[in-house]
Amino acid sequence: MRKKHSFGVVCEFQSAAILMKAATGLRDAGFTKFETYSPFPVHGMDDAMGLKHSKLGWIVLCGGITGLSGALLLQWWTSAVDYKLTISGKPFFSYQAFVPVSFECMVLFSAFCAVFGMLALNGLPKLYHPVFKYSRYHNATSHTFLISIDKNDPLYKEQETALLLQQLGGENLEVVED
Amino acid sequence: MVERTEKLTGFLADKLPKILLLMGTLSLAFCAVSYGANPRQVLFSYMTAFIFFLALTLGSLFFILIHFLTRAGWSVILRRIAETLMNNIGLMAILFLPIAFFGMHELYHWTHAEAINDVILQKKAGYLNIKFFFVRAVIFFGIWFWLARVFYNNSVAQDATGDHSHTLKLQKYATFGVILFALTLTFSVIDWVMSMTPHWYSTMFGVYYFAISTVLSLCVITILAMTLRRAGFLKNEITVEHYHDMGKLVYGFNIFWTYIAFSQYFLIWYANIPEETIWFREHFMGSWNAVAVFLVLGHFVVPFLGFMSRHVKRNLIAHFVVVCWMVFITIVDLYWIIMPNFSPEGIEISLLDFAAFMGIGGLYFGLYFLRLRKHALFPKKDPRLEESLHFHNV
Amino acid sequence: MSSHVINYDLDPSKRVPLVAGNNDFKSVTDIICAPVEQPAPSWWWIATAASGSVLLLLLSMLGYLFWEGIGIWGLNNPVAWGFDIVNLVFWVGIGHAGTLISAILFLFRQKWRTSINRFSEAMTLFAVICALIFPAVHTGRPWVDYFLLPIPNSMAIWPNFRSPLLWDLFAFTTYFTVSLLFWYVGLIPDLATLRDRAKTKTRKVVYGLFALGWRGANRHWQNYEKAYMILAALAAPLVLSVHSIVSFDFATSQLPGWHTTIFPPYFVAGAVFSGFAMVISLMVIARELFGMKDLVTMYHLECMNKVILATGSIVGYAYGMEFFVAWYSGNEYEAFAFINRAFGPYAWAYWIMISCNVISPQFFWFKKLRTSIPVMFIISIFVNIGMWFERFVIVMTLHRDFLPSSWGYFRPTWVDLSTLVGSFGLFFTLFLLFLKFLPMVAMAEVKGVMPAANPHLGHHGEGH
Repeated sequence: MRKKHSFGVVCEFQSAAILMKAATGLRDAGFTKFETYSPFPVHGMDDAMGLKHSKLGWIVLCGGITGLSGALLLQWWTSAVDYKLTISGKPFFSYQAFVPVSFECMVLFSAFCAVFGMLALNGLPKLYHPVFKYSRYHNATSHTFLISIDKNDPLYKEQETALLLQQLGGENLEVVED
Repeated sequence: MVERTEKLTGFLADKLPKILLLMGTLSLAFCAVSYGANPRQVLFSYMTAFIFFLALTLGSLFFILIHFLTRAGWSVILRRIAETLMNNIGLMAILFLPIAFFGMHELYHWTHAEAINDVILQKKAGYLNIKFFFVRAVIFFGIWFWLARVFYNNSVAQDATGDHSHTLKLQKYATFGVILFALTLTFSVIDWVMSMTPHWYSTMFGVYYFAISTVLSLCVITILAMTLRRAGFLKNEITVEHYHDMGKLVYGFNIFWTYIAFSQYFLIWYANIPEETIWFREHFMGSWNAVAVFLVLGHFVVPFLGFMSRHVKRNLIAHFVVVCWMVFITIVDLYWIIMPNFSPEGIEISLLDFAAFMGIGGLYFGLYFLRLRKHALFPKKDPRLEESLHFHNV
Repeated sequence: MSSHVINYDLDPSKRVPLVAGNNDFKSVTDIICAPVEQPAPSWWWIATAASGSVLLLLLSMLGYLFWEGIGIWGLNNPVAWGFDIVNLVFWVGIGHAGTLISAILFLFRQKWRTSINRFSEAMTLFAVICALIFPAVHTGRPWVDYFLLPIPNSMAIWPNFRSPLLWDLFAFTTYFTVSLLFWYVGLIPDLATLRDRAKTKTRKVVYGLFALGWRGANRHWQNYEKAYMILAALAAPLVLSVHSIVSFDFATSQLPGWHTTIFPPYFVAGAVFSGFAMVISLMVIARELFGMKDLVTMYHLECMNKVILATGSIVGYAYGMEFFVAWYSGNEYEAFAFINRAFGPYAWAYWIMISCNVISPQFFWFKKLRTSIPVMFIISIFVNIGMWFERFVIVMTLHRDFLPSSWGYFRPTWVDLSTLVGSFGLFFTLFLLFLKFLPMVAMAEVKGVMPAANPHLGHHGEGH
């Protein structure tokens, strides 16, 4: 976890393939606090950067279970406990008839967890980030690719890191301060 | 080019078919011998096994049709395994003969003389009569046999020539093939299974059987691929990526099965009309109720939770366990659909149930491996083979 | 370039490129952002004014309804359900294509979906909004709609969870919410693109706020893709469940012609059918007017037409099964319901339905016809008409019930018709606003399926 934004070097790459090679190079060199930016998800980048799998699935699973059991509980309590009404001769606790609502609630809660969980894991919304200060950042959501290396990375040495990035194909290197 | 083992050799090609054929013949002989003492039991056990292997064959036919219809690339490497299953439809036609010759009276009580006094059966007599029943059976098997031959022969022919025109032809045939498939599958299962309870009707029944057969064939294709892998074939070609994808399809189609099975049950339960609920009443009698509950757990809850994770789908041992379970539970499903007609009071497992499965299964897979060894284990000159070999899940 | 001469129909070893022309990432961004960044063309103002006035018609009809009550509709005693439910099912059905394209085609890795998913997801949302109006107002007293919600109230009673109409409430609201989330999640990276291209402060702030500070970092994409995959996996059964629950409204009854077990999958197939037809109707026009022919190519349209043909055939299968089983059941009421549909007082509606839904898509068997813009436009309109009439035919089963003395005939009033027309005004107004203010093609996703996006293919990829 970065305590305070104190940023490092950012540079630009012209294609997904070079970006991927550069990320692999950084990973192999032992860097951990670096990040790649691309206008679309680049497949295989997680491995290239050495990232672990996303934990989102577990969050969603919890949401789904909550939605399902909450809906069942609500229907059981309102229909079979609090105010019993005989309807078309069906049992008060007609689990068959409770399937649709339970299913919908399960999906609804799972979807909320998927979206808000994703935002939380990504630390969004967060309208300011130092990488935005990079002068060519605006192209990175359109057609170019970036790599940034954080100053807090144990291997970070401004001169050498910059040189390494350039060797890996980085262009327009800038040191970005928070 | 990488060297690839193309042909099936060794135990699977030489010894296993003989063992299976011998087992099949002996088991069916046992069924035939028992026919004198207990014809009803023999016929119902045989019918359950027949419907099971038919589902497997038709499901594989669907796999092939949809493969060409969608111009799929990833599944090319698995195609020969499925094609050879599909190609067993001729055997199924022969195995239908005992039902046609000896089974009509015991299996279908609309064939009885007293059906004339049944008002509802009278109304259906235009459809449910023996002559038309046989005509339809000939049409069903004719269409299936023709489709299977066209798809198998063209695929095998492409092995030699690598001609793209075979692929193009099959893509065309798949379009109307899938329509013929839908209609024949629906009406065959109405004839052979639904009419065992001749008063009962459900517009969903064909779709239900379709769901069963799709899940079943996907599982068996996976099992066969893993068997080949174990024996050292297609080890580097059918990768964990393919198994992962097959697993996703099994998972998805199993949810589809649940959806169809639940909708059918639910609508009949909710409306509560006697002429429809009768079917479920019969299938919930006595210990059949326990089977039904077991089915809900085993066919839905267990695979839904157990097969959800990608780690299970990508772990070949765990994957193997799940698909074997799915085959078992499919047998339970078909058993629960068919056998209450035989023993309405509750489940009565008989030795003949096993004999029938081993009998048909022995012949089926004996013939399967004999055919599999004749040609390459995968469509070696398919234009999309490379795409399939390099396939990766994202 | 050589790639233009390949006939992909004759060479199965090649795949059709999903982006035509000589486009790279930058030009794709430029094409998609153009309608949002340039001043609106004059046709847009004219169209918006026109659909806005139709929307006013809807609002005035609703106002009239709230003032007078539902007596101004054509409902009568045997036909107690009329245009309200027909329009509801029609619009919800239209709303199924979006989620199908985004979710089910995503799970099946049908990459051609990337060019059309944003567009059809937007269509889904607006169609569901149109649909939700009808159940909300169908009692004429929308101020008591909260009775449907399980909130403690002074009467100490609860909604009836054993009623299909209550399931609808849960299904629709869940569907709308999840579709909205799905759509918005897809939009976030594109909003960031718009933010970074913005020339004015207002645009930067507004798009920036909605982009939530997205920066395209791979650690973002990792969770993002997982979320997208999970949403797709959730939305796929959801989309099936929604129209199945709509079908339960009919199928849980004991009415011949309504109670049949095939209704759930049959409704879903019909919904997809109508939804795709609506996508075609709108897309054919939009790609022309906004110059998106490189992104929404003939290949995309052809794929959609094939889906229309397939789902149209499933619908035809369901019509056939219903008829067969109505006869096979030996139940004379069941048989009567279907004969009455085809030859009774509403035979005209039935045959419109059959010719539009079953016969008209059959033209798509021919490649020449399914790749002809005018033909597909006309057929898609026919399918939409046919699918509206399908729901009309089903609902009009009510007009002859078990008691011949209470048979009747439903005639829509001018209010019924104006409300239906007005709902199109709402739909098109929302749609035109979408086209103007948001990217109508999912930029990030289209780039992701371009050959140059594959990091293993080297610097330029293939096809350039």
